Amino acid sequence: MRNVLDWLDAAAKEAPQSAAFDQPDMGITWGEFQKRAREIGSFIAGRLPAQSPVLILMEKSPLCIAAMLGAVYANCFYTPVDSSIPEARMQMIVSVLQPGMVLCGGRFKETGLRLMPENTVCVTDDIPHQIDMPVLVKRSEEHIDNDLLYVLFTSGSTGVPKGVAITHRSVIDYIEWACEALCLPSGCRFASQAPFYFDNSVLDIYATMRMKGSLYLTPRVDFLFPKKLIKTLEQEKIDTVFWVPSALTALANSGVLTPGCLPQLCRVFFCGEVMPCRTLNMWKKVLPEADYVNMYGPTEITDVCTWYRVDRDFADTDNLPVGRPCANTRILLIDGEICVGGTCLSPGYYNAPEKTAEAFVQNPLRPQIPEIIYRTGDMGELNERGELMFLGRRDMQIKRSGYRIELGEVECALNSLSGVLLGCCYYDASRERIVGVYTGSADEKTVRLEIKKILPKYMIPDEWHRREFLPRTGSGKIDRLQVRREVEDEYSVI
Amino acid sequence: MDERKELLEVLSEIREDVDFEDETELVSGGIIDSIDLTQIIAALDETFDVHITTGDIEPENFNSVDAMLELIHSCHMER
Repeated sequence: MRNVLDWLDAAAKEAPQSAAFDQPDMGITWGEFQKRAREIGSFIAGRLPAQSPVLILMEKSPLCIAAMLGAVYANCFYTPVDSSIPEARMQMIVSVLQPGMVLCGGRFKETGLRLMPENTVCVTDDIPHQIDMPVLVKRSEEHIDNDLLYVLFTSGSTGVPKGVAITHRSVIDYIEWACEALCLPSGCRFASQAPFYFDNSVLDIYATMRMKGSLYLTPRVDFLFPKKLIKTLEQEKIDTVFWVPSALTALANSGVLTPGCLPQLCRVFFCGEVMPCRTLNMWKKVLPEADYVNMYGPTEITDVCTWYRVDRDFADTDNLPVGRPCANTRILLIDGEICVGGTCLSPGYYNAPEKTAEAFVQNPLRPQIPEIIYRTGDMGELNERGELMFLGRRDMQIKRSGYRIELGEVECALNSLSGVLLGCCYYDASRERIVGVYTGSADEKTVRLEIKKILPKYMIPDEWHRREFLPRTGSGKIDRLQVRREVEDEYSVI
Repeated sequence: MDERKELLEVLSEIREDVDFEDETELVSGGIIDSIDLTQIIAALDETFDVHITTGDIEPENFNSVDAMLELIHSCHMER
């Protein structure tokens, strides 16, 4: 197998009438989906050479996925962008990517026209219903598994977004592993949380395709209304979720998880942030039989490189392992930094050879032969069972009074407290202070007293800020930079 | 000041660009986002002494000013 389209073609052939992608007002079967993707692919192939970048500026919808896979039928690669980001940032993405075409949802056409020349801006709905099979066959014959499938942009610490390029073979490697290791049954029914510009969606889309299952595109607004979300998951008979821990935490904290709810849900997977054990325990109490799997990985290694199936009990204050490498993946700890090797590796950042050379480096343990590993910038260690423990970002490791402190560990403790809904912390190096920020009912004094029972004195934050809410990034994670900016704005005024 | 006027004032402080007077699909139309909503909930608590938790609410409660007024009233009735 060398093309992810083999899964789509098999699903369309064997389950043409089954639901593929659903949302409240629209559903599409595998047969219809393949047809639309081929139409879009024919349109693109008539205009662009193979392996051209195709920018996707659409709302999360079945048609958006058809546009992505349409690009793949033309042997081009897709880049979905977050339509809510400032246009200046979109412009930065466009200048790195140099897309050959942008496929827009109707309401984003004007934005598209401001970003790109008029003859490259296409409204997806207007693409004609015609398939040029000979052209698609030719594109497929020329394809090799090293061709790019997508480029996803992540925030660079310098402010210029980095485009992580991922090939077909990395996704094939990942999805074949995931479907087997996660015991996904044929016809499984996912509810999607991740936006398509965030790579947790890769599992949602391609595992669904591989298993001829279906993916329910949960409206974003449902995540604000836990009661409605539960109702939706039950009505749609969702059996599998792969969400960021924040989404699972919000649902647990809202009090809507009650015994007997979500009878179909039997697989709860999470990735993208640290999963607080307190959240896990709240879920386990309500759904004790479900399969819980914690996964870890940056976009550069195709979503996931280690996994841990929850096989024992944890106290609320414990740190959950991220486990062991996925099949065909190697994890190295070099000076405590998690480094990854294997087919999962991105060939690099698109159009950014210098940034690529900084993060994708020769394996220092194998100087005899070229072998590239990816330096994640995350710190890790093995526990006594040989499981990988995530300790936090390399830049979240600080030194104070001679002690090395992982802010991730402080956050883990903060998030285990009962009056805290969500917390994070940062280090203000200029004032040598650790600052804790959280939402929840506990007042600052209580938090200070309670966290003292868990953490050594040198790790306790020096100041606390209780907030009504914590800003999130586009993918739903806590936006730490913004948290810090808000706290500092507030106090610089006084 | 009547409650409706007071509520409109509070809302316009959160999002001055939205026409809260006439809009009836604030949530379902995607006009207000999660941050707006959290601020609205906090403001209802502060201004109207209505304590609501996210587990209790439905999108319909926030689609319009009238829906929010109804929510405030029903919370006051429960007490």
